[in-house]
Amino acid sequence: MSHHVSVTTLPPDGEKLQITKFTSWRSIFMLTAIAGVVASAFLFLSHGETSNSYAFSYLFALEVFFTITAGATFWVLLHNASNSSWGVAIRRIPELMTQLFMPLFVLALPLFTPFVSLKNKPEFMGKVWEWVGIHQQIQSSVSVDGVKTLHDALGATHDTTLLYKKYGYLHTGIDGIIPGMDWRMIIFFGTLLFIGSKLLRYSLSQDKTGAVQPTYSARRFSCGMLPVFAVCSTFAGIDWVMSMNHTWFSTMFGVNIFAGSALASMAAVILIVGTLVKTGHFKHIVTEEHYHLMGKLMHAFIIFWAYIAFSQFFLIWYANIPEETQFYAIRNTNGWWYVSLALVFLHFAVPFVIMLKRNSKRNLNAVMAVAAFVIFVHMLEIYWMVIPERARALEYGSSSGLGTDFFRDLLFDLIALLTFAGTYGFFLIRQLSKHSLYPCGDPRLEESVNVVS
Amino acid sequence: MSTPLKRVHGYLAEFSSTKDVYHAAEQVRDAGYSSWDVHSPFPVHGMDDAMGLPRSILPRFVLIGGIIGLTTAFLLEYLTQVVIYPTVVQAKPANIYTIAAFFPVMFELTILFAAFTALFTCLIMMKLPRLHHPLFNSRNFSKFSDDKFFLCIEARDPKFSPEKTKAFLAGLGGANIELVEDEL
Repeated sequence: MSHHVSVTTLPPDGEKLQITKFTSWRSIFMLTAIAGVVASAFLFLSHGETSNSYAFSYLFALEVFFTITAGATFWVLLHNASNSSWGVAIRRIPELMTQLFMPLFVLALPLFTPFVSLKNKPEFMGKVWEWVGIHQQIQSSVSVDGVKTLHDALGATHDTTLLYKKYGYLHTGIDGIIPGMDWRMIIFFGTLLFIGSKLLRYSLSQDKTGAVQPTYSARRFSCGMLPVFAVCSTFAGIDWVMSMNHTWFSTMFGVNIFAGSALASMAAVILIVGTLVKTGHFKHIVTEEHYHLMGKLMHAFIIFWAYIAFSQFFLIWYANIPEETQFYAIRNTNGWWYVSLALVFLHFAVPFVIMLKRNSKRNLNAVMAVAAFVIFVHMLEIYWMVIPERARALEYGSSSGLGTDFFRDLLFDLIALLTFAGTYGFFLIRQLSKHSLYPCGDPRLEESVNVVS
Repeated sequence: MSTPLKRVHGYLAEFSSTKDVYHAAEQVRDAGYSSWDVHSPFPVHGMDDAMGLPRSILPRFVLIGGIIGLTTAFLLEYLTQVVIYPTVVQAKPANIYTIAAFFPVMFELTILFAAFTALFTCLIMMKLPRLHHPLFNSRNFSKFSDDKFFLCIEARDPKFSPEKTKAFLAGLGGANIELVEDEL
C-alpha cells in the first residue's frame, strides 16, 4: 500500500511492445518457421514410411501448441467468469495467445485433410489414426452399386465390430451432413478462436473508451462459453490423441489433456510476462505479487495434473481389463518405462516441492525457471502420449518399443517441434506488437496493479 | 471492603472503518511500538504488513507434519502389506511396485497430519484456549465483533507513556480512548 500506483499516473494509451528488442528473435522464429514448413512439406510429400513416421511427429508438435493455446483460452474465460480483478494487468497476454489458433489451424490442415474424401485421404492419416485406414480398406471392398454401406460392411466382419459400434462417432462424415473427425477439427479450432476473439474484442474496446459495460458482457459471455470450451478441448483430445488407438478408451482422457493444457499455458504466460518484464516492459504494472499469484495457480495445476494423471492410471491398473491396460502396457514396458517414471517425478514431484516455497513463487528468476521446466515436461507428456503409437502402427516390431529408426524419428520429432515453435513464436511477437500489452482501459486495472496476494 | 488491586493493561482506541484502523496501524508500527494489537470483526487484507508482523513460522511445522504423515502411511502400508504379511490382491505384486495402491492412503494421511499440525500448532502459538482477556473489561470493546475496529497499545510496551500514548492515539483519529485495567 505504501507504493500505491494510481491509474492516472499510467500512460492512457497503455504500453506498446518495444519491437526493436525482439527483431532478432522475430527473424530467428521466422526463418525456423519457413525452414520447418519447407521440410515438413518435403517430408509429407515423400510418401511411404517417411511421411507416415513424420505424421506422428507432426501430431505431437500440433498437440503441444494446441494445448498451450487452448489453456490460454481457459484462463481468459476463467478470469472473466470468476469476476477476478487480480489478473487484469496480465490478462492481455493470454487474450492475445488465443489468436494463435489461426496459424495453428493452417498448420494442422495437412494432417487432417478435411476437404478430401475418405478414399483419397493420404496414407499417413490411416496410419496415425488406424481406424481411418481400416475404413479406407473396407470402403474399397464395398461394391459401388450401393449394396452395402461402409457402416454395414464394418458390421459384417468380426474384426471390425468395435468400429461398427463406434461408427456414430469415429467416422469421416456420414451422408455428407454429419461432420466427421476431419471436419470436427475445423469446428474445434473455429469455436475456440471465436471465443478468444470475442473476449479480445471486448477487452480492446475498453482500451479506447474505458467503459464498464464490456466487463459485464465478457463475464456473461465467459460463463456461457466455459462448457463450450470444455466440450471442444475434451473432444479434440479424444479425436486426435485417444482415437489413435480406437480399441482403447478412458473416460478421464479429456480432462487429463485439459489438466496439462491449463498448466502449460499458465507456465507460458509466466514466461512471456517474465520476458517482457526483463526487457523493460510492464513498469509499475506487474509486480512480484502477480508472479506470486500466477505461481500459485501453476502450483495448483501441478497438483491437479498429478491427481488426474494418477487417477486415470490407478483405475486402469486396478481394474486390469485388457482393452484398458493396453495403453499403459506399451508405456510401462521397455524404454517407455523410464519416460513414465520420469513423468511422475519431473511432471509432479520436483516442481511440486520447488513451488511449495514462497520465494520460488515471488522471485521472477525462480518462477520463470520452473515455468520453462513445466513447458518442457508438458512436451514430454504429449510425446509420451502420441509417439508410442508410432511403433505399434508402423509395425516396427523392435524389442525396444522405440522403433528401428529411432534417431531418424527423433530428428523428425525435432523438425516438427521447431516448425510449430517457429511459427508460434513469430505470430506471438506479431500479436504482442499489435495492441497495448495490458488492458489500459479496464476499470479494474488500478485494483490489479496494486493487488496484494 | 478494600479496593481491589488493578493492573493497567493499556490504551484502547476505537476506529469506525478498516481504512482508518489500517493507516493507524501503519503509524503505530512506524512509531516503534512492539506490544500492541488490532481487533476487527473480520480479517483485514494486508494488515500483517501494516502491523509489520514477521512471517509466521507455522508453515514449517505444517511441512514437518505432512512429511511425518506421508512416511507413516507408507510404512504402515508397506510393512503390513509387503513385509509382515504379503497380501496378493487381484494378482498385484506384493513388493515396492504395489506403491500405486498405497498412494490414496499416503495422500490422505499427509493431509490429515498436516491439518492437525496446523490446527494444534496454531492453538499453541495463540495460547488458546483461554477464558479471560483484560480487554473484556471494556464494555465498549464488545463492538469489535460487530462494526467497530480497535487498536490497543499495551502498558508493558517499553515506549508506553500514560500521556504521550493517549495523545498519539487521539492524533491517529481514535475515538473513545480508554485506559483498560485488569482486576488482579
